[in-house]
Amino acid sequence: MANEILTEISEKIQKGKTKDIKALVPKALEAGIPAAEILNEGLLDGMNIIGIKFKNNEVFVPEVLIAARAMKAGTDILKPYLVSDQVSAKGKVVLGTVRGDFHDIGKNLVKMMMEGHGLEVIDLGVDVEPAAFVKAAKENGADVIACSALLTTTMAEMKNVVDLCKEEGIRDQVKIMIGGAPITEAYKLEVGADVYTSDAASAAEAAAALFA
Amino acid sequence: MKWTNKQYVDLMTYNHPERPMFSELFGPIIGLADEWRSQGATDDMLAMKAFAFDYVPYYNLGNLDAIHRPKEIVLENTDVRYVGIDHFGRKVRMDKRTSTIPLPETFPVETMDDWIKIKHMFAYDPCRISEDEITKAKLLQDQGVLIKSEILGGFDILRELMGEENCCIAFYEDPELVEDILHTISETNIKVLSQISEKITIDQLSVHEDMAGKTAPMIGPNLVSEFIVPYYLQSWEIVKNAGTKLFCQDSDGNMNPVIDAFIQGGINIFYPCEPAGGMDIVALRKKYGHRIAFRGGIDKHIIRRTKEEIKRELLYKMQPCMTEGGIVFGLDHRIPNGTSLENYIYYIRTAREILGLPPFEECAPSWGRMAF
Repeated sequence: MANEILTEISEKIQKGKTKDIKALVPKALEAGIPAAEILNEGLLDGMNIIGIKFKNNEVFVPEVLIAARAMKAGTDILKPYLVSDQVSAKGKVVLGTVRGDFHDIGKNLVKMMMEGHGLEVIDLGVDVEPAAFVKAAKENGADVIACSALLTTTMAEMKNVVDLCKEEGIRDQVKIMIGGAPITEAYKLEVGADVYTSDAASAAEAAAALFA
Repeated sequence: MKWTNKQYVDLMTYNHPERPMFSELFGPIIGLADEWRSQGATDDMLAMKAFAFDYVPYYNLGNLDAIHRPKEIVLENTDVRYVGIDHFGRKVRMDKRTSTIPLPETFPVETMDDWIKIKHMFAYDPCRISEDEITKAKLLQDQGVLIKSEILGGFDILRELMGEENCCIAFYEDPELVEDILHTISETNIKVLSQISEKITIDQLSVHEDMAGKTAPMIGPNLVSEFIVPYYLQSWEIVKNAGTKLFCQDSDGNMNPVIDAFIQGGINIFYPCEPAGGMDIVALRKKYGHRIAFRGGIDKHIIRRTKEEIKRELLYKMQPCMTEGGIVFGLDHRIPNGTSLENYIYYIRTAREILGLPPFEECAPSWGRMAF
């Protein structure tokens, strides 16, 4: 019974069926399934499968967005149960698009995918100063700073973030991830970041692996 | 060298062209002129003319864009920042140090009611095409100018009106709104293109989508086939029946997953074919043969690297299967910052040598943007 409901939740997440999720999650709770299990084996399982399909170009942005919406509807229902069960996020990530760059779709997809891996994401938005990344990481005790850039004219800001982390003495405490259209593995090495990934799903997988 | 419309059409349709074109499609990115000037570039080099690029002059016939737009309002305009309300009523902003296009923060369409309020901007209006304009286009065409008309991108216009995320969701959650927007625009396209095609055969129909990132297009082949292809075909069939041979799509990024779908929609030229987005024109030529042609295709990032890498890229891209037609060789977007003038000149010299063209220094100055 529990397995059937969890499988159904996972499938409905993959199809982005928010209404069904709103009905199924309470049903799972009523059936006595722990909130953490509903989260991990239902909602996050569905989101992980969507992530793999997205990486393989089997589904695209619209399908990810409706799945993420459905997942949010499910986690909103679960939140009070997760708090009372003291279930916490697997790790904290500070995320933003670098200074001078106002593009946000890539960053937003990374956020959804990371949340789909059970990570807490502090989204600083777009046009983020290096100091804001560092400040947010310090204040929130984040383990990862993730920087996005779409423009060749703004990608250099990633090095400024890395350098400021060193100056502020937190470089050893945070992993720095970078991504975006002009970014490459070679560029990661050039600026001294820790992780480069080519797409949102891989970014989330890599971030989750840092906490495994 | 300046090409004629006929030469260009013959090239892109593999109709026994003399040789491929070698061009710079977009030009330099902001800031590069200062870099090059300090490295000794002449004025003709900064204007791109020194390199004797191939180009075809073109003229856009008819207005299929939004009309009767509200006036733009400037809210802040400093040396580094622009904030304003644009012609769609969107709040836009730009950092002038890094960008040339202001990006919207708000969007005018969320619901059908919102759309109805601005629908008139996309409706047919006699001001979209005039007899005088058609007469002028005929004269220009006779002089070798390429005549093109441009329809709004089926994805692009939805994004412009709704924002990327909302338009993506609307395909599933509000398909009636998506269909109504595309239907309205299509009706206008049909009326204007029919009027044009009665009098003149346009050389190329163009569409701007810019709908892909580095790893994938924003929407997949299922949604392209369901929503965008029917929209394209309604316009393409009209001009194709009047003799138009070229339908060109502009989109950066990895379009591989949707190329088949777009070919069904009539597209036969893809540009700028961005290698960093997985677009390999040689592999595409091998897969699609003469069904499609390309502009661009040469990795702009390569010319910032070593001369060996530049030469390797050019030898690969300019191999015999590519030079037989259906190609305007060029960088896949603007020349990036950090490209040394020395490397750029090496790139030009090497490319011209591979293509059997005389050194640019021996040719008349020549360049025209080829982003159309």
